[in-house]
Amino acid sequence: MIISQTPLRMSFVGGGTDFEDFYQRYPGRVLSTTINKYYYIVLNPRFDGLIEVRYSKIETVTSPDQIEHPLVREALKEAGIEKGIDIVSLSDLPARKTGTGLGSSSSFTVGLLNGLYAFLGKYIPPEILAEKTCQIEIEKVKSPIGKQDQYAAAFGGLNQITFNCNGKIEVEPIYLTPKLKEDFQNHLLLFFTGIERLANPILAEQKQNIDKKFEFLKKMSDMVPIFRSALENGDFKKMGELLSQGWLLKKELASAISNPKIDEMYNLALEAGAWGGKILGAGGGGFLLVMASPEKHSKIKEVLNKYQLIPFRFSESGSKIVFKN
Amino acid sequence: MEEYIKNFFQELKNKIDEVSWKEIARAIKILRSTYENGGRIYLIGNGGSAAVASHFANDLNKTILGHKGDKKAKRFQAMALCDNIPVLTAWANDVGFEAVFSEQLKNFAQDKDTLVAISSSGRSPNIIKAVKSAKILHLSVIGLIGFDGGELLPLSDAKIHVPSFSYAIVESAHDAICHLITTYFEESIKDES
Repeated sequence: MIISQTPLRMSFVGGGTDFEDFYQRYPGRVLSTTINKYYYIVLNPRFDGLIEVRYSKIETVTSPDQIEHPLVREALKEAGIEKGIDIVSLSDLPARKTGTGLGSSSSFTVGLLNGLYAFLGKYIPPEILAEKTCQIEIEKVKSPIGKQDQYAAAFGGLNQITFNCNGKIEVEPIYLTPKLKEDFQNHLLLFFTGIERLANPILAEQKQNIDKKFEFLKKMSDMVPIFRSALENGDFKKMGELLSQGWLLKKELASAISNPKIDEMYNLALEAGAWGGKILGAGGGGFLLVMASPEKHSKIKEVLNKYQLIPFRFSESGSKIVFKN
Repeated sequence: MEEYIKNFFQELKNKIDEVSWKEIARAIKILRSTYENGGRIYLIGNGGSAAVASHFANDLNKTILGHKGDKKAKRFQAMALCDNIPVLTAWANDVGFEAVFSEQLKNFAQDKDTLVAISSSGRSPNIIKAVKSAKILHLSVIGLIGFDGGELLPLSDAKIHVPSFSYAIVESAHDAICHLITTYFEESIKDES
């Protein structure tokens, strides 16, 4: 039996600049961290030669082609596994059919692929794991997504990810002192909006709008080094303001990124003293990240008390085989 | 005499200044990942480097928990493979000294574990053999190395290289770097609420 553990990620600035249509023309940049919420993929050989996949539903089939779940089907084909395997997925923050804004679909695919190779006794380094996951999600399954999530999940930690015009993707770790890392985490609050949305229609519109919104995306990419230097200087107020600036730009990219409920939550947080915030991921629902001085946290929690607060910490590790027997 | 003493410290300072801070930060990231994943950290070295390995294992296991060891946090799982004399001499006597670390590794190693290989020359055959085994077992490798880096440097994921040909300088610098990493974790690992 194999169990792989793959972190979810929280993206602060630059999301949307990781689409190839954009970064072919101007370098894309994202600053993100993985958090201690994970996808677990359990794999076990099956004596009867069937393939069984358990997620929100159960599929039992005789060959990979018959699998409905497109990511599982393509991952099995990529790894070259044709029969005799049980695949079970579990998550700390279940995405159901709708996604979370925490990069769940890529975390799932990275973890699945990592596990499938371990099942075959092979080890795949993070850069190859990320690249193969991009091929599966973007080229094979045609998900209208960028490339930040695959790299975040495979590498782990707090990184600046740069998408160069020539297609080369660089993951540069941002190393923080113990105090700065602790302070950074202690300024953040994560709330579940309670809205489960389909990310792909929003992302598809966003992808179509890349030409029209090119100047917005350039600004979002250029915010990354500014956010990074604010972080390295411990200027959390500025970071909060940049999060909000990024969020306001992002709202311009597609029509359904925000909605009245999200705007209300966001405004309540700001009125209660937050420096800034944003919806994580594609938008439309999922999780709201708020940045505020720790002394404002109790007030913010009070005004947002109908929404679930999700405690979290940053994590360093990328996708890993945590059990093998 | 004063000059003799000052020269030694000057040389040590110069060489410590030449160590890449990014490689040390990378080593911290690897150790932190291993800790989060509940993996083990194996440490190996010969002679003075064996002493560095044992010392660092002690610091990871105990020192970061505070002087009284009463910090209520998940603990590191570090083991210096030079510490068990019966096992070490069994492999050395029956198979050969090259096998003493690689064979011990095979008893425990899992993908989520890390090997810390300490070798001033970067060429000790038992260290290189263990590092090659670690790669086959999918472990991450942190190299604490001296001299010209030897064979160990290119095999390491984090390459902590003290570019001196003096054992005294290299081992002293290695000890200081291990204490730096210990201090980092002592400060960053908090009581769990």
